[in-house]
Amino acid sequence: MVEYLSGNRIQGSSTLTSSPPQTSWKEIDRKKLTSNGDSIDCNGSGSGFPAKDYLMFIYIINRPSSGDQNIRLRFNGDANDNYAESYSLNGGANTTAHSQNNIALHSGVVNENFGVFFVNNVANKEKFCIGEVVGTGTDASSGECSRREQTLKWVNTSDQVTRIELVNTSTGEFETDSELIVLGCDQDEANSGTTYWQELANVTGTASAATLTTGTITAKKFLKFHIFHDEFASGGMRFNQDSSSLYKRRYSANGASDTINNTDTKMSFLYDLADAFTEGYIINIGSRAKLMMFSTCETNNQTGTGNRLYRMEGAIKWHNLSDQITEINLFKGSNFSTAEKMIVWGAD
Amino acid sequence: MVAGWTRLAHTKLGSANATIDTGTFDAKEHLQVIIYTLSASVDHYCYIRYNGDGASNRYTYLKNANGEVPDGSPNLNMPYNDIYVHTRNGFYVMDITNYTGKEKLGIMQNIGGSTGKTNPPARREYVSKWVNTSDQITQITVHQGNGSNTFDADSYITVWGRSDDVTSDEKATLADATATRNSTLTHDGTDITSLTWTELGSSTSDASYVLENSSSDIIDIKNSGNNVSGSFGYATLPSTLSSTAWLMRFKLVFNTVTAESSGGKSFFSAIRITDSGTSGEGVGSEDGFGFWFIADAGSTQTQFRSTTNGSETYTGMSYTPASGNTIYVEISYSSGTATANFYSDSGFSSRVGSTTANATQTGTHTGLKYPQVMLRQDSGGNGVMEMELSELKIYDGNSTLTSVVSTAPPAGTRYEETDTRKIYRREGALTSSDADHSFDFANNTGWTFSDSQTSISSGKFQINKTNGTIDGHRGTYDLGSALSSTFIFRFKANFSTLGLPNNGSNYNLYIGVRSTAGVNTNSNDHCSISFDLQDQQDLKVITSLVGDDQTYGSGDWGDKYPSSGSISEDTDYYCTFIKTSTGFTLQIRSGSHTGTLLHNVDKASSKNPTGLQYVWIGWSNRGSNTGADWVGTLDDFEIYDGVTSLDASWKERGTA
Repeated sequence: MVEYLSGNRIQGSSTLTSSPPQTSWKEIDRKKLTSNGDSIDCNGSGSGFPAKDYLMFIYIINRPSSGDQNIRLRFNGDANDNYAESYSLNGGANTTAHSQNNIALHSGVVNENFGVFFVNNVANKEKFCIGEVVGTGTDASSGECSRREQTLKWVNTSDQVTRIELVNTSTGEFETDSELIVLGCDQDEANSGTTYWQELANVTGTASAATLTTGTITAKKFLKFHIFHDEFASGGMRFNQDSSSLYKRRYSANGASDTINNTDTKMSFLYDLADAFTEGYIINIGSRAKLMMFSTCETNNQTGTGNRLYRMEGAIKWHNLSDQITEINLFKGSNFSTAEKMIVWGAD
Repeated sequence: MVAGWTRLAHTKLGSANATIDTGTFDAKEHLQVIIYTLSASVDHYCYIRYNGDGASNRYTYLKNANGEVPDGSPNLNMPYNDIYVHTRNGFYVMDITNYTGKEKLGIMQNIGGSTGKTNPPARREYVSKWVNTSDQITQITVHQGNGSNTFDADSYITVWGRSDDVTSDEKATLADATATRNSTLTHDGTDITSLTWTELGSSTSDASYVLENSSSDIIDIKNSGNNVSGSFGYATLPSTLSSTAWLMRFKLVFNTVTAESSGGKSFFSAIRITDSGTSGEGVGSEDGFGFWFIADAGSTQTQFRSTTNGSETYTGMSYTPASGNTIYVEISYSSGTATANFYSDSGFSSRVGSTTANATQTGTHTGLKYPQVMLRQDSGGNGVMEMELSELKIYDGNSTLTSVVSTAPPAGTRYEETDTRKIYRREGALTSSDADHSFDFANNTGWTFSDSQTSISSGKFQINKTNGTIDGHRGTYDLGSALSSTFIFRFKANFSTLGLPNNGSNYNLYIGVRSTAGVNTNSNDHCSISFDLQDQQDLKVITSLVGDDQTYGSGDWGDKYPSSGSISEDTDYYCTFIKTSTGFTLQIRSGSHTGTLLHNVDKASSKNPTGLQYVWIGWSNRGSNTGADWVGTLDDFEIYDGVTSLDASWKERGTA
């Protein structure tokens, strides 16, 4: 607003700002356990959450204090043999299953599991679902993390998914504070409300600094990030400027079997050279290990036609059990360029 | 308010089609894409293209199918970004970086496969790139590549992009906006008694009269009384009108117009605005503008007149007053020119007689204060005019009822941001007194001349090359320090002789700034305006260039002026060179540096000349005996350092 004052003076804010159209993912349901249990059921108020054309669900399952967990997924309470899946565990060979009563998201596990899945939710079509799961590993206090890549489908061709349920079928329980969050978005999602992912940082490299930092960001339970690297030789990422050996990485390069680095002082996402694009999701609870799933597309410093791409995917655990991530730094042996960027979104 | 993700495009097929096309969407640096392809009966191959680019060698991708160890061979030089799935249905989630200047990198996951609970889904992971580094992705097309198969109806693609806050800068609005503004009605005679009238006659029983009729808000006029020397009725305005601009309007009804029946009888009724209510027709020496409605025998007509010191000039108007006519009359005066128009409607939108019933008269009259009715009829005349004048309105200070005005605050206005506490002040346009270096060539102090072909005399920089060599001949001036990366220099040039060379070559007279006072080195940085004489094409043109570590003639050249033909001799050309961060601009004007713009062309250039410390006017090393001739002068050479515009602007001036 502007005020016109006496003496040739105008007073006001320099810009008027408004949010961009709110037409992407929005939270439509969540369930958080207030005591140990064997089910986390997002079912709206009892008759289902709003039917949306796309769904994205995120969950964190806390490790059992005794026994183990079989984490199973069901849609709309359907416990019949209407599920099929294809998955790889820790970069191993593909495994398929069909005519299942539910979808196995991990079996016999004693750890914390962080999952992110996308669902195509057309009523008269089979429901396709793509996702990844990262676990802290069987020893929750240290050791390597695990990862699972998965596609699955629910063959129902009459209903949209309006209920998502995680069920434990083994001896342990889902511990308190385990949580399932469902996001939804229609193809013509209305410009109303507030989208789930809120931007926490958007930073660009400068030619005078060998560190690209978000600065202090608001602590959020879930983080999503995009990084564009340029000449990332000897580079890495650290949380809260922690350079101790608490980063545990598992990755597959160009589809090869997983490699494990269990005492890293930094997180790496590619072969030292760029241009490259890395994306990922992080669960960020202060008292628990921070888990990340990531993927990288890398030109390996060979831009232009005729040059191949490289690919990396993996999981990382930062075994800090006391702090939330409130700062993310990229660093390397030379100064960053203005082409290099890092954007972090967050949500609780 | 924060940035977030926004849907950019969504396309769902209403019927089977081999293509799913987003259409054009806004360019965003981060994209998320979901694709869903359907086929009930046949397998499909999906290919993605960006911005319709289907040329070879444009895409590369690497794919892992169903967790194979390791990945399959990378696919190079493809005319498409293959997301091929040899199945009936597919669901794809893809993230893309979309930076200008960088290849577009994508990471995608896919599920697909035949329907039915006994068919486990396929699983694929992709990374891909589009090698285009000049554009951002603003269109995504999914093509079906298996023969003539198509995607089923309801297949779709949705694209989201990361969007910043939507912002609007109020400073820009304040600085540069315009608005349509109504002129102020300064003298409103709609209520006839609101003006002070000096009347002619005492009642409508008189032979002639100009009388207030307050009950009808009109001035009753009758001319039939043989007023040989003219009779006057007039109003006295509270103040005189501006000598710069005003607008007068009124309504005029002709109740009776009967012309003289005999020749030799002068008979007219005039309605004017004058500097004397009692002057006219040989009485006094008034100034003013007005209409003469004439009804002589056989010559009923209308004239628009300008009266200066009692003497009149006039222009005939294609309007014949007649009984029963009503016209709406307007005089628009601006800077010595008055334009008269008649309209048929009270909205003054429909001109009587189209474009013919108007006239223009000149005269810079001051002291206009009296709307006047003047009547004359020679003795023995028998003509009659009865009229009603009403709705007299005068807009002093404006020649039009509405005008487009700048809403920019005046220079010196202080703008204070309440959020950042920054203070801005609106600066006026830069003028000669603001130049960092200014040469009026009153003397030659500080100038160095290599020979007599350049000199300073008679208050101008003289250029006189009519024969002989031009082998590096020049005049130079050391500015003392180099200019910054952005600056403006400008000057006035006038050449009495511009002779083409006769040896088939082209030659340039350079006027500008250089990194050296010398000539023909291999490390010249320079920004110049060139007067170019071209024997090859028989052209005499003005051009411009920027060079960086180059010899004469090398660098990035701007467009020439004129684009065809030649510049004129004995003509003032006002030339301005603007060095910006992205290139340079050459402006050429006539009349003055704010005169008519003859040439205004930007030239993008990555040249980064540095060390520009010397004004350099002359010829680079091009041999001798060319036959080319330049005889003329330069004047008012000015340099403004650190700016790219001399226009008024907001400048940050600290914080509160």
